[in-house]
Amino acid sequence: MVPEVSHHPLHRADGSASYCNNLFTILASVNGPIEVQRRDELAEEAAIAVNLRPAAGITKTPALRMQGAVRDVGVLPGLVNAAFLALVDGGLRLDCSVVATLFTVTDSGVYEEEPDEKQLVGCKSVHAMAYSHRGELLLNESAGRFPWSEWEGVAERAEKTCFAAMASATGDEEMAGGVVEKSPWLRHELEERARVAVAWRETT
Amino acid sequence: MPSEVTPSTNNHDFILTALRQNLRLDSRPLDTYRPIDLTFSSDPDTYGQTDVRIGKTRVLCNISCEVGAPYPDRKFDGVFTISCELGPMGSPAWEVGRQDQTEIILSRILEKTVRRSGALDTESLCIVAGQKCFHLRADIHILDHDGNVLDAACFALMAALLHFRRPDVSIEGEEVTVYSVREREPVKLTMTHHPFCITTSFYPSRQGSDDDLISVLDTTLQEEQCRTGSLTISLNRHGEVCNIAKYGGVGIEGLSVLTCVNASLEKAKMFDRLLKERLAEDEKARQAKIGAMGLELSAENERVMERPVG
Repeated sequence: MVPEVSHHPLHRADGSASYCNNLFTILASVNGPIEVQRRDELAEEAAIAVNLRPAAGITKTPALRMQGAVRDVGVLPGLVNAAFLALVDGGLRLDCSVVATLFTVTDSGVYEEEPDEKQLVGCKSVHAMAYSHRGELLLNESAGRFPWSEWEGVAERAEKTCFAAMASATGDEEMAGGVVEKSPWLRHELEERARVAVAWRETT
Repeated sequence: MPSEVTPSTNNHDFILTALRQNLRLDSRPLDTYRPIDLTFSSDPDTYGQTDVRIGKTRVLCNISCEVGAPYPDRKFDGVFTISCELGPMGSPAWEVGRQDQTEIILSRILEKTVRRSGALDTESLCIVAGQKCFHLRADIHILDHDGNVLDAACFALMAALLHFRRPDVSIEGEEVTVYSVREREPVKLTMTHHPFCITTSFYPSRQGSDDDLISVLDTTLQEEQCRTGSLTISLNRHGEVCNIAKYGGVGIEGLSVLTCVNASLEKAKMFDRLLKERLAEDEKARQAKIGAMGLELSAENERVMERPVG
């Protein structure tokens, strides 16, 4: 399942992206660098303010939101991916590429990648994980009941999925199986964006 | 804290001089709106979600409802709230948790135009008098701010209200059953009339004089920052005025208010026509989607039509 992405759908925000997987449609926008409120100011670092706005309801800060149930874990990977794409669109300096993914485990121990709503409701545990392109685990949120071995199984699969999203498309492994199982969607998106961004140079 | 970039004196003077010569930066006449686009959610089970674009201004409205208790002093009415919280998505100058002038004006005018004018019949939201009713909530999200947010927000809200369907309910004694969209066809809201907001902005036609004013419709953000006053008229297509709000220091004569109302009526009719058109289109598209599935869901046996004897 390749998520649907559109770059820079908004005019006013410095960077924006809309991201649509089989659970949520998320619109992310980034403004920066901008003046920060005095109380949030950090002497040597950039201060980052994150706001979450549900379609129905008031704006929340993530700290409040994280105390939620399974559904909230379900939304996390989409939020991370959307935010990353918006940051890229805004041209803000980033240290690494990030991809997040969602896994659910059913009662019978079947691992499901990027579940749909039905699978999310019927699962035993749900895990949201994000990896950087260097293989660092950046996000690890789980809900439900699961043994340690199951978490390890998820972590292993999630790492593969995240790497697949960023993998270079020219690799031989793509040809090996005959069928491309996981498309490097993030790389495609970023490459496409970069191509569009320099298109003016080629036409002149 | 970031604030909106105000146009420089040169910019300001340029816009004013151009307006005095009946010219605008985007080359449209003074009484014309930018292209208006209205889209509904493509999911056939989602009702009451509208995305309105007027030029680069973009507003999203989402209607949701749940069952709750009515206010004790209004036993026969449902609850209807409009929430328009501005966030940094629309403009970096808008902060979460800090009420901006735009936000106050927006919520106040929408409240008066839609809620207090009785556009929505709240009595139809009542389920059991004094005990259960529908809480209807309209969330307005300004995604892009390029002027004339008020007209766009009002249009999005009206479109969403007309598009929204609440779940059907059945009452047996004290027991209330709320049916899902799949179980029973959801019910449209009862609307008594369809008001729209039309904002006219005023500019001095001569330097330092407020006697003669140029009126301009659907201003962009830049034009909005240069205006000396504005008049927001809320009215429906029959010309029934629900609210007139005047902002800015400049004085406006009674006669020009009447002229504005007449000009606004034309625009209200235009909004109404556009809305009806889009609603009909959406209805058709939904019917086509449901039609394909309705065939599968149908429990009816195929009947062989026998030829009548003779």
